[in-house]
Amino acid sequence: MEHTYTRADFAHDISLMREFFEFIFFTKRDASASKEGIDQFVALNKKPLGDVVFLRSLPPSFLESFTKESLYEMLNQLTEESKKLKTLSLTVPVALSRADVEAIGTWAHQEVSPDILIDFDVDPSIAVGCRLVWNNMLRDFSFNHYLIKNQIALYDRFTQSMPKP
Amino acid sequence: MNIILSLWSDILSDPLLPMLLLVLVILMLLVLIAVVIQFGTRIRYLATSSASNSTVKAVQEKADHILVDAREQGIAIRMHAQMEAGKIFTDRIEEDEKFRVVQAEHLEEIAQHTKDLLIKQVQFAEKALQDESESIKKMFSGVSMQAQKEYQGLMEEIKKRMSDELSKEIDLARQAVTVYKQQRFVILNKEIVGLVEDTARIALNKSLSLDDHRGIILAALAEAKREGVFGTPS
Repeated sequence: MEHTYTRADFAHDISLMREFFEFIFFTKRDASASKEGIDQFVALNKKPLGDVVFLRSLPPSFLESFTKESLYEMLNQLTEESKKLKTLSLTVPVALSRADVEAIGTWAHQEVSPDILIDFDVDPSIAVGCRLVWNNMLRDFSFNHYLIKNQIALYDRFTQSMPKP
Repeated sequence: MNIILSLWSDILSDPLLPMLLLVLVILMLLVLIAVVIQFGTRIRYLATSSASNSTVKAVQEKADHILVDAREQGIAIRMHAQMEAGKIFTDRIEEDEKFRVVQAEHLEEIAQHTKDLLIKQVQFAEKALQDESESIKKMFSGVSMQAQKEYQGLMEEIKKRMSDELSKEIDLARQAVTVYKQQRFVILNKEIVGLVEDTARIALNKSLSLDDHRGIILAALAEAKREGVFGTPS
């Protein structure tokens, strides 16, 4: 979970693990769910670095807990358990890059909870900042929030620059 | 016959008859005397016929002489008459000329008199007209001044009324404008704020980089944490 920040990431990780374990269990190669098996899988499938890092971050005990028979059951179980993880819903003004998502996810893991998942949505009307839902509570830290926060100062500035009625 | 005899007897019995018979006798005697005288003259003429030729000749000469004299006299008379007529004509012409001159003088006098009279009449008419005009002028001046006074009074009153009405309308208009301005300024402020917001949004979306967005999002999350959104505030 260290590098899994969003539900999409989690789904991708589950898919990656299913692909890896299917490689291990069903390709009849002499490979095991270990570091070596990951290397073989990566070498054969030419996975991106992020996927490699993810697979290599998985602890051996976790890898060994999967068997040919329990693979799909455990994957389904993991998917179900992921739904129980706390989710921080973030609405942001632009579509963020992977690096931005990782930076925000890292902050959330460190500052909020290590097991937190972030659900990103894009709304250009937010302009800047974000709007978040946490524990079913909506909080607005977008441009409107900063406008309201500085409403008096802005209104004073406008009225000073306008003719008196 | 008896009748005739009776008539004679009646006539003879009248006392005037002798007188009438006497008168008739006298008349007959006078006629007889005249005839005798005339007859005697004729006889004497016939008795002197031999000398009559010389007498006739003399008489003829005399008659011719008389005729010549008479002709000369006639000529003289005619010439005299002509001269007299000429004189009379000349006199008449002179008289006519004098009369004409006199008439002309009279006419001139009449014309002059008429002219003077007309001038006097005209002067009188002019004076009367001038007097009447002055009178009318005075009358109209009086009427005009009165009308002007009334007009000025009316105008003053109308001006005052209009000024009052206009002042009221202007006050109402000013009040309405003030209210309208206040309302419009409130709306305008909102619109301006909205406009600034929209403009800022558009400008921010276009001007901020992804790194900027990321930094702002992280700052917003940090603020949320400070406000205790995720639990106990730090």
